[in-house]
Amino acid sequence: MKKNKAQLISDILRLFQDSNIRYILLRSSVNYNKKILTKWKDVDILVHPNDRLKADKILKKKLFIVDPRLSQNTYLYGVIPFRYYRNFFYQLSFDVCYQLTCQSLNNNEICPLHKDIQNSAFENAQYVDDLIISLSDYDSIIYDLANVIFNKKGNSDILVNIKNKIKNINDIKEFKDQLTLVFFNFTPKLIDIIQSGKLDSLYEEYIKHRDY
Amino acid sequence: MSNPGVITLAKSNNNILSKIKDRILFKKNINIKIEDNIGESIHLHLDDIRIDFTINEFENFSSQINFIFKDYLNKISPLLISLPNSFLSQIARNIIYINDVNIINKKISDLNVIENIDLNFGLIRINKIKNSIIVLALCKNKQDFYSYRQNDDRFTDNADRIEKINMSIVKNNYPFNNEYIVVFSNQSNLIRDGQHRASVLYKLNPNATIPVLSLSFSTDLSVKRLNLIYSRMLYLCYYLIKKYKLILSFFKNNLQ
Repeated sequence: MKKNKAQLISDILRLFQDSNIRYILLRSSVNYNKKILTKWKDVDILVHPNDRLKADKILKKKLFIVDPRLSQNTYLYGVIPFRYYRNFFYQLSFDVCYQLTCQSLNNNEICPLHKDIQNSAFENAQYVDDLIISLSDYDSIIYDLANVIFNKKGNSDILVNIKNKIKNINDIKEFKDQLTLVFFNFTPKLIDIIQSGKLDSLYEEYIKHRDY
Repeated sequence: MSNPGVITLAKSNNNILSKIKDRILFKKNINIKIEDNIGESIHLHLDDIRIDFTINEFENFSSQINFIFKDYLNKISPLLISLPNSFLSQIARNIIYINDVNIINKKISDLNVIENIDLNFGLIRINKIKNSIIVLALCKNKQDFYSYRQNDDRFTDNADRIEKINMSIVKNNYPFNNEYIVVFSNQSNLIRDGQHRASVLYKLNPNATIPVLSLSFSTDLSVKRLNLIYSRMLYLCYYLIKKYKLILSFFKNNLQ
């Protein structure tokens, strides 16, 4: 009998765990089992670069094929190219990246976030349940902020996610150093914007920034 | 680690076709690029050399360069000062070869335009103004024009740009502020700058005769038909290689 998409995703994640593959579900993919997966579904997943061959084998066993058309981005500074695995039978896609990245403002090239943030992603990853592993609140905020500003994804889901995560943090200034790794001199202004809750204007404020 | 917030403000023209030509002719051109690294500094790259500026330093530096450059142009001909910066940067390499600047009259319907087929590759085609993408957009077919990639004025979209030019010509007439449409004397029917203005003027009155600025160079800067054929052949090879790589990567990724 054909499984549903959520079951297939759970199976794959369980196989990942059995093979000691380090992975983190990104963005809304952490909620994959709560959503009704009727149409094509993308699972955004970060896999540790050292485990990519093992992950590749498991996905291919589950009849996923790599779609090279979608990997035609330009990858800068040693980013390992993403792999888009597609299973046409289940209409399911595993969008696998091996580093936390964002798009450059220039020509949308893919750039890695700072090495310390990459390390922190796996060191501080948190279990939502036995299969669902997500970024820590700190890393999730930085990743989402980078998405809003550099990938120009100012959609309400991401902004709501940032606002929710910020509520869990006592003092945003605690991770000023990590924010500076990505946003440089814009960081003090960024903290002001976060504290005032005016996240909608984030991209415009970033582009207008002139204090450097 | 790099800053993802980098915006290229300006760079020397180095599309694939001109790179191939430079290699064949053993020409060494310095690559110049100016980047705004938001939150960090402005970088001026000259090949492997990088100079860092704060925003204030860079604004002072660029206004000084602009002053010196405009002074130099004024010595060749005061008519050159009103040429747009985007066009001046395109002909920058050849400004030293300008030996005459004249205003001549041309019938608009006789003019031809250069259109981009692939901007990264540097592939162009020559078209009659009546069939040009802008004139067609002004008359009926707007969709092709809105998705057309321009090689200058990246901060406005095509629709806005043509609308502004249309309103300016209706309000101020042509030429306004000595800003003439430019042709080169050895191919005096081919518009090198001012395609939008010419298209609006054509739409207003296709039979009109207008003054244009004709630049003469001591070196040959014509767009040769033969050159266009070669570049199309190269483009075809480039396109096939891209497709071949895609197919190869599909088999490599899935059959290992």
